[in-house]
Amino acid sequence: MTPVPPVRELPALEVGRAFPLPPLVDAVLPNGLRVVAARAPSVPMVELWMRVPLPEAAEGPALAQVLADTLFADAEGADDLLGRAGATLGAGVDGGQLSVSASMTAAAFPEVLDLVAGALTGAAHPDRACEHAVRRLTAQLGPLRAQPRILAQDALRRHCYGPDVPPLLPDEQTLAAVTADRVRQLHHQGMRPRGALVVLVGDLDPTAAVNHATTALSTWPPTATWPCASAGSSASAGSLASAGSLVSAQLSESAQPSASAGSLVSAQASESPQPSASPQPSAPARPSASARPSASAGSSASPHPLASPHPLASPQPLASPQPSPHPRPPDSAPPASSPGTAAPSALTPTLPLPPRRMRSAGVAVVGRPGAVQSQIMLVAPGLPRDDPGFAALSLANCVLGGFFSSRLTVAVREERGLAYRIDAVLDELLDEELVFLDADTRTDATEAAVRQIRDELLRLAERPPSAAETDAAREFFTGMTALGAASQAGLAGALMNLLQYGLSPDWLRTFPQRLAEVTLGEVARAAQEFYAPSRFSGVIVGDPSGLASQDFDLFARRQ
Amino acid sequence: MRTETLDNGLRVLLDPRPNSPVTGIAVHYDVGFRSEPEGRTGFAHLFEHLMFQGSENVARGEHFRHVQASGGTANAATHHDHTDYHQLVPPGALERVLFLEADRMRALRISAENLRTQVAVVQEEIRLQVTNRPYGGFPWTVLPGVLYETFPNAHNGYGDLRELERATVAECEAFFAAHYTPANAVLTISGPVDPDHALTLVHRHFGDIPAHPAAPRPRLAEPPPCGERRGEHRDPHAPLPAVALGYRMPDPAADLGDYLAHMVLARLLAGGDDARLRRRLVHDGTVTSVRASCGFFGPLQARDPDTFLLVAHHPPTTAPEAVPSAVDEELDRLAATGPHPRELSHATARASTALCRSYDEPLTRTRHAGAFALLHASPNLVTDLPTLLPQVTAESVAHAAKTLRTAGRAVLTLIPGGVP
Repeated sequence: MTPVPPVRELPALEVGRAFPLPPLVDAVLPNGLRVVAARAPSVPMVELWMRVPLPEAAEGPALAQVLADTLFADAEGADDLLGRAGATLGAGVDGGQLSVSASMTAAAFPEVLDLVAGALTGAAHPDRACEHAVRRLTAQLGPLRAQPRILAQDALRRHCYGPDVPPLLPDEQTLAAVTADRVRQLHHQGMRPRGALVVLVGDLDPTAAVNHATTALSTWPPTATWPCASAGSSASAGSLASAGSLVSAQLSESAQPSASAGSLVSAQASESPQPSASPQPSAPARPSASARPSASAGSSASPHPLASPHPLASPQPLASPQPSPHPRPPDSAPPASSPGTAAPSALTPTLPLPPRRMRSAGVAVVGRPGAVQSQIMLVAPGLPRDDPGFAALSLANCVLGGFFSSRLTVAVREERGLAYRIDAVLDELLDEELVFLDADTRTDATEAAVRQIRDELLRLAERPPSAAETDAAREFFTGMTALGAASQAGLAGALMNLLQYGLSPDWLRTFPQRLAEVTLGEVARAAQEFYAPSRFSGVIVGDPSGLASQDFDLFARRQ
Repeated sequence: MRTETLDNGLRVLLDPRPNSPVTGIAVHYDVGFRSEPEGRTGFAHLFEHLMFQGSENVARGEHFRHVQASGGTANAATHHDHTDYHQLVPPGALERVLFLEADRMRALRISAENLRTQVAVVQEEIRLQVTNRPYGGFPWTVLPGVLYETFPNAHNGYGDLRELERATVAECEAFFAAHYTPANAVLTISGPVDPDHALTLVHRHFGDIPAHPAAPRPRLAEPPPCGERRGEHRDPHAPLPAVALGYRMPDPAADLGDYLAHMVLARLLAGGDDARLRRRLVHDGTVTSVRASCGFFGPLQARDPDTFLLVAHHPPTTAPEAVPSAVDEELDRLAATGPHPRELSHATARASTALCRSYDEPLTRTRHAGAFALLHASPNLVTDLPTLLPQVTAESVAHAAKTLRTAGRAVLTLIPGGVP
């Protein structure tokens, strides 16, 4: 037909520059509040992100949601200030923590910070605002519950942690019983600066920014009087997790521009065919889960409508050979007793709970009549981020299913067409570090997909990641660190991620170095130790009649 | 920004950003789902998947593998009038990505097996995004069928599962030959690059791709609707009703200022907590959410005709007419008196900062610069829009409101139901 074409060879990579950490100040105020400010003057704007631990409440996530929803309800002059500053400001609940996020012109940053500080120390949560919030949040529950991924996440929690695990979403009764008094009490007796985090990124002077934050927030009293002993458990290093990310989990799939701040939702509005695949703010340890901080901060890279400052961020068009590389894994629980059972208005002091541990419970089929696709969610115990073995586990996980070039994607999707989305992710559920396997597949092929996943798990131990696979994963992680931090919102997200895990901002530099040192032997050991099918439990949510004749007992302990 | 056209017709857009730590590389082809043939809905998107299935010197799956092993990401998306393939990589991977993009532009390889597999993958994508979830594909897959009449404008771009199955290798090859030519594409490079060096690399890899003419663009022009068109959409998974209103946008090629006024109008109506429809409908529980936008996938992401849309979700107790009536009343008010000066300045300030922030993301900037170059011959919109929006006047917003109020429109009702 045509002459033999010349053989063309893949060009080599030019030597890259090391990822430079931006000028940054990391301070802890006398009242315990930690403030990290970084200079990234790419545009004349500033990102302001906060996480504040909340103590447990009998009402579970309901009370916190109303608190977040009404945080700025009585902030004087807010509309005018934010309008002038072209600012967006929102609050939500994320992992039993209050999350606040704002973006604004650099010139207006000090004023907006003052506004946020004023609300944190003096919000009145007016009765009417609370009633309105309850109404609005309640209206959003139905559509949220109907989302297949919410259903699957809720089912996974109950299956792996038992029936008394806190539900992912508040229920109508608990929400209805939330009173403004209780909201004010939670806020002013329970919310404290110790363990709280502020991240400021943008066209700013880090020292001046931290000084301003110190002035604005130093009057926030360090001690809480909330009658609850266990508040600290969710405060520190911890749980990224969340009630709010229940929300983010959902919302991530929806590209609806901007629901209002603190809203449970708009999942129902999800009309987007596909979230964008742009790199998310990324702490290197978790490129796959890293979109989460932006859930409430509304990174433009993020499709989360929750508090999104970006009404212009639009639904994405038909995407892509590649689904969003950032599926939201199931999220950790609000640290509360079951809201349905406790007297909602009672001040129920709760004792610190022992950390929950997932129970190996096999794989359960959960019915969703009328479904045309099944959600497969499997989990196994993983490793904490500060464990010496975490870097090797990250690489093994990446090779298995952490990026598009992974074995699972190739086997399940590219060779067999069994799924559009399949991922392996390291993340937390109820404060426990887990490995998540997550896929969606048509009803009649569900068993085939599960079988294929099982086979790849077995193969990971039999044929551990090769040098080429491991190097690709290493390079990918390293690149994602720089890519994820290449915008103000991305850097803010990456820093918040790290701080929430109790890691230092320097991790952005040191984790790639640590990855570089991991040996093939270490990766092989991680592959063998963590991915045996018998370690996995989980749920398959789909149409019960379509799944009835399929066999999912592939992960039973018989191996 | 700098532009250059190669001898084979490939347009090259260089956007040097010396301080950026990463490089965005995108190839935008002048073909979208409005270009696909009748009887093959969803074909343009299916074809997009095939672009990752191997070319002369790149085996199936290797495109992703090479990009990711270089520390970068790759993806693609199919829009109304264009399909973009994009990468975000460390600067040292620029030439590698140019090689990969050039190889598939020069000599894509399509096999029956890969086609069959990707049909299955796309069907899974449609289940995930549309048929298995509440409000999936609403309203963008269904509203065009009410607002428009001609096939290119009216059909569902995600496509029909059965029609996808009928796609053949021969059709794919013909589609590639017709639309994936250098002269039908814009290559965008945005990052810390030396423009001369980048151009040398571009010539090295794309220069010898033979020129050949692309198929003509589809005819999209059709008269705007007269009066109101109504449609219903049943969603078995949805627990609550919803309604979507669609209007025609002005042609940005004819009057960009008018298009921008519609962008500001969308924000005034439903762009934030203090927006008119939010205050009016959300606060009293008439709706649980309401939003407005220009274009199904954002402003200026399609050629004319483009759609202005409003979408609201509401409790069953809300009368079906409540939302359209409220929209009419707010449009009447804005048409009569225009926005309050402060309201307007807040809306434009927010629109401007939102864009500024959005284009701080290197990938968004790269993709939009390429799309603006291809669709509107105006790549500089990524830098100009944030300064143009604050210049929108109260008069032009009032004019936009009046235009929408007096124009025909589509009203699509989502009927929830059935599946618990």
